[in-house]
Amino acid sequence: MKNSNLFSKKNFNLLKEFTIAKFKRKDQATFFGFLWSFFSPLIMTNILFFLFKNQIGQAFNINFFLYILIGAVNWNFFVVATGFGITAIFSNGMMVKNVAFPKELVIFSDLLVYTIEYFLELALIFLFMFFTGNGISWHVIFLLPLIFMEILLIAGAMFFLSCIYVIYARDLNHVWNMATRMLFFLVPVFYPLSMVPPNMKWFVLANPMTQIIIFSRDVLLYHRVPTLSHFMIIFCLCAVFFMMGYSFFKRHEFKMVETV
Amino acid sequence: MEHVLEVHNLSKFFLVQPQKRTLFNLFKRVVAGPKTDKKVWALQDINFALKQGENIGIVGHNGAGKTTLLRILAGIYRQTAGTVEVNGSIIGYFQSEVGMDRELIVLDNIYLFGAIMGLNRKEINKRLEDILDFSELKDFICFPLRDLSTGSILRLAMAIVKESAADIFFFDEMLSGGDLGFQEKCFNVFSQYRKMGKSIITASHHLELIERVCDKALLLDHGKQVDFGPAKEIVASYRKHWAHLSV
Repeated sequence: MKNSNLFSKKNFNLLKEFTIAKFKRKDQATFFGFLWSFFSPLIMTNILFFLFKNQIGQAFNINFFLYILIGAVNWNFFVVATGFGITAIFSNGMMVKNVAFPKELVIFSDLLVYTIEYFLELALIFLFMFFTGNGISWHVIFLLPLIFMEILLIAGAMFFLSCIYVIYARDLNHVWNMATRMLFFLVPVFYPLSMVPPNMKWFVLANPMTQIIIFSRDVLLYHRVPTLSHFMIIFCLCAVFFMMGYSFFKRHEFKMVETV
Repeated sequence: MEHVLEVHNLSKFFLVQPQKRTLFNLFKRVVAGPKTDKKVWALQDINFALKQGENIGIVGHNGAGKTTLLRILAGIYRQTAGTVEVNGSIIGYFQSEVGMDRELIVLDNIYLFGAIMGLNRKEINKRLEDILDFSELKDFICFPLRDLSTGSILRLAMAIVKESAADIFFFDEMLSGGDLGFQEKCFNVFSQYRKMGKSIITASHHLELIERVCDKALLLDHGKQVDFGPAKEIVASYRKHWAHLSV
């Protein structure tokens, strides 16, 4: 099927069916499948909470568990989606090589599956917000543009990584796995920004995931309206990441199809 | 009759990288340049045209460039030189199980593969009875695809392809793996296509299919066009060529 218009009805239908198929394949359509979505960030949050509640947690005047959970859920979304996204084109190689369709649909469908998981994890945050007395305020509406920006960032990374993996480096997934483990300590998931040495602060702040986590804590934990400048910084960072990743992917699309 | 597809001076080469694709080798390529990449010509100077309602068969040995040519015509690969002009909608079916998922049940696979063939759920539901009749899988609709034989999967794929709307169909070895009953069903589908003014380009080693279904044939040898003409003549010359080689 040759279809050059990305936004055609046929492509939307194809994206829908790819996403349904991937979701079913992941066993997410079952009860236990849904539970798996909660376990990963919950276990990570519990470990970090018990490890650091005395050293870091006591310095906080807020719910430290919720503080970590918000960071962990956002970080988990980024790590899982990009980690699996690296091999998205490669693992669909036969289809990519034998069917004419916009290849970005493979990335978008993967991303949609992980976004659904992310929404389930957000539900977990809301549950804890409700039961720990933190409460849910109207500021939650700011989460929608934030999620959109986070999706842009992750999509950009997925486009870039999946393309590099297929064409140039089939060991990129191992390196990326290690890199995200190291990056975890450079993102304020379980520590406050005030703990970062001043000479390192710019490096931590330049990471779009740091900005996203700060933004989501502002609206969920502190019930604060994010400043326009903060919003614009995140939007620009994520949009630039997306455009760079997507244009790289489109520029190398045919080479990727031939190499896969 | 109007041409629905025209191919002029089509050529294609691949750059084959002999080293493993690793970050270390990528670093070496960045520093020293891709000097060791080998240029392999897959197709050279191919010329032919397809009229509306006409069928063309592509024959040639393994590695002759049949699949590469079909992939270029379908828009999956991009040619290095030459032009491909297509007037009409196209659908390509190149390999059994492509676009299907062995872990999903037959019905899910009908929706998934149907979407690849340009059909939405509403359209598929309207034609579900016909799809299940053709594929003979009425009693297996809730079975995972992995439990079906290769032949059954091929029947299922063809049942969906025949429901899709296009002006030109590309097939690659689509009869291999199917029994005689399936082959007869396919021949019927092809004669219906002809009545409807649809065209087919098929690559196959099944020479009977080429003789029976195709008006013209294109003979390829190591990526080069050896001959293009009436299907029966081309198939005869191809047979003669191989008989000569096997003596």
